[in-house]
Amino acid sequence: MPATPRAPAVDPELVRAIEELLKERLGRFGLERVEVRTGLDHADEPALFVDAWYRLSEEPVDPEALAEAHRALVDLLVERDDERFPYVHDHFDKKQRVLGFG
Amino acid sequence: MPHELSTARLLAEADSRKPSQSHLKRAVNAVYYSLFDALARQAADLLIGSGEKRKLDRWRRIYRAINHNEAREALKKISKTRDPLWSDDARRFADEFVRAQELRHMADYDPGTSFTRQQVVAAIANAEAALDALGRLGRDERQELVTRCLFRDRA
Repeated sequence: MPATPRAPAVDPELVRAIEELLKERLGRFGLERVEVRTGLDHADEPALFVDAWYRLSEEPVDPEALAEAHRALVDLLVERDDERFPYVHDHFDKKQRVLGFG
Repeated sequence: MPHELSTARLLAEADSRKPSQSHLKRAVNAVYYSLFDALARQAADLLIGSGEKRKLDRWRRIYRAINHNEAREALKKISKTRDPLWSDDARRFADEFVRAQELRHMADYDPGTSFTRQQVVAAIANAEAALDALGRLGRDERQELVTRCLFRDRA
């Protein structure tokens, strides 16, 4: 049986920079943990997949803040000449409120 | 709000206690198609015209000429460019389009993927903001954006 191909590890310094950026911008919504892995997106292009886990926060999550954090993440990679596109998967508490939604 | 996003909201807000994955995945699909539809409409409006011209075959031909992969490729370049030609609004639309297409692919083709209501409502809100951003672009920048999505650069 062929070995399962493993995604190459992400540079730990880049992981730290991503974590720092997201915690600075999204910490107020309860962001606790960030995981970064490499892979291919659905178009088979190299990508960074970022999983962000949050605890329940009293402050409703602001979708605009999520979008701005994502934009900052794209800029971080552009500054480093990193061609990969970052896809952030936010894992919120099931009771978390989101601004603008019931 | 575009029809697709209204549908997405209804689906995401249905089943108040425990949203079904089927509803959430259809909402994710609708989010992507709201952006795709807006892009295709912009292309046809700018190249053919709006109002009565939307009834013309050539308007429909342009609308249908936008290809998912080529649009993603062009918009990903805009998202990651340092070229000052592109405004923050253009990059915002480009970001959301690329992200929404990946989410839609997961929703439609990866049975192992599940979504939470919070993820989906955030995607809906961001699609609304991206459509507003597209609407704020000046005519020249909109033309530049849609022609890059329609026509590949020669290598």
